[in-house]
Amino acid sequence: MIRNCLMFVVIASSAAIIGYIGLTAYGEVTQAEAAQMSESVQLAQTQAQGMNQALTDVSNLGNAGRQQPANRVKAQQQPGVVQEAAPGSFADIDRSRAPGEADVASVTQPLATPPPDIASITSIDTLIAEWQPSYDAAKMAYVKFEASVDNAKGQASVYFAKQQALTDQIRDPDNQAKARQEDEWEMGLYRQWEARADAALEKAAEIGIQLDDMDASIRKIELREGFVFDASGFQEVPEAINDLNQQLTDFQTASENIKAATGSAFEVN
Amino acid sequence: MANNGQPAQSGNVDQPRTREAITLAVRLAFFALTIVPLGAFLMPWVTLDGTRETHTGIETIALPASPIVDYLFRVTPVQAATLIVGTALIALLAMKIAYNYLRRKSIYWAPMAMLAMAIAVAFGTGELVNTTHAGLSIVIAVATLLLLHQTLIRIQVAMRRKGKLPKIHRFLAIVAGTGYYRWRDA
Repeated sequence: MIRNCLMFVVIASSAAIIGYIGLTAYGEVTQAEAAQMSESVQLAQTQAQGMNQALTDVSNLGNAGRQQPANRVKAQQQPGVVQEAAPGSFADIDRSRAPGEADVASVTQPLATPPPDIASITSIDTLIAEWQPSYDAAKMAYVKFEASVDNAKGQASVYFAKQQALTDQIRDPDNQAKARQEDEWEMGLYRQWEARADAALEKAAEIGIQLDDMDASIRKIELREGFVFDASGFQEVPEAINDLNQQLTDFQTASENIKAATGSAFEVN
Repeated sequence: MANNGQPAQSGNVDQPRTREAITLAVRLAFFALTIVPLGAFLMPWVTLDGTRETHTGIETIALPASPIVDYLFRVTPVQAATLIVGTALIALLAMKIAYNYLRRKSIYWAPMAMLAMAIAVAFGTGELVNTTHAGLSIVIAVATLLLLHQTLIRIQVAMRRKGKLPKIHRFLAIVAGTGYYRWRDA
């Protein structure tokens, strides 16, 4: 009796889980194209915001990295620090957006001055510890944004193809023309969104190149950190040779003295 | 609970009914515990990065049918596979564990595998998963408890076979719910 009840519980639970998974998957597959496109566009917009934040963060650190050599110059009074290009700054590509339009990627201007705690970093290890996570996050944010835009484009093509097919099914010419006009209006909105997304991607790619350059600059500073160019080392070698030469002279004098005192069977008197 | 699929019998057959009742209660409690992960699949599981939506365990398994699946696999394919396949495996393991507890069969590797999968989903999907929620936490907790239970069973069986410390292994039989009770075949 108990066993039968427990068996029923197991079977019922398992069947409920499997059935619910099937229903959920069916709901996703049969989701309207408009809903799928909306979900994809929403995803792209969220990723755009994430990319904006990540790029701003890493740009701030890049500014601090640019100040790092200067700090070291002041601290060590050594010339020869690397002066690399500053990380890029974005113009707000979304400034021309009309009210009510979809909020696509807007990449804002990084802060002109980095936070004071980062700007005051004088150790390259500390700077890299701050830089690396932000740099990795920015790179990943770009990948996510690019993937989400491509995903949205794919969903949009499905949506508009389905829309066009349905419009073609309308037999009345007037109604069909009206429907086509609506389709074109929607397509126009989408094209605007796509253009802004592409512009944001392009801008982000430019920033990404500059961030890569900044990363290389920071790595160069890190490399140089362990390199000590001791010019006095070259002077020590001649001094040692002079010392040894002086000693050789002494040895030579002593040797002559010994030879004079002891004589030799081979010397002709 | 572990001898070639046969129910383990431990302790004195004529032990007091109180002990038998405790043994049965513990066994039923652990069986009930195996059902909990199945229920946890209906609870919030993870929040995916970018969607700002909370997905239940079932919705996570159904993600391959979602319009964002291409995005997920393009960004980080390993993490996406870990999330989806891992969650599906947790569901299968939960069903298997529940069925085996019902049959009083010890299945020591399954809670371990379920715990490993749950930890992989929770901590191995960092770029895709923003937050993990109660459903996944419950699975991790239950898998840990079931793993401890299986360890307890192994210890009890080993002590019984070697005939060492009979008082302790009889106590463990009650605590682990593997001992004898006369309603066993009811």
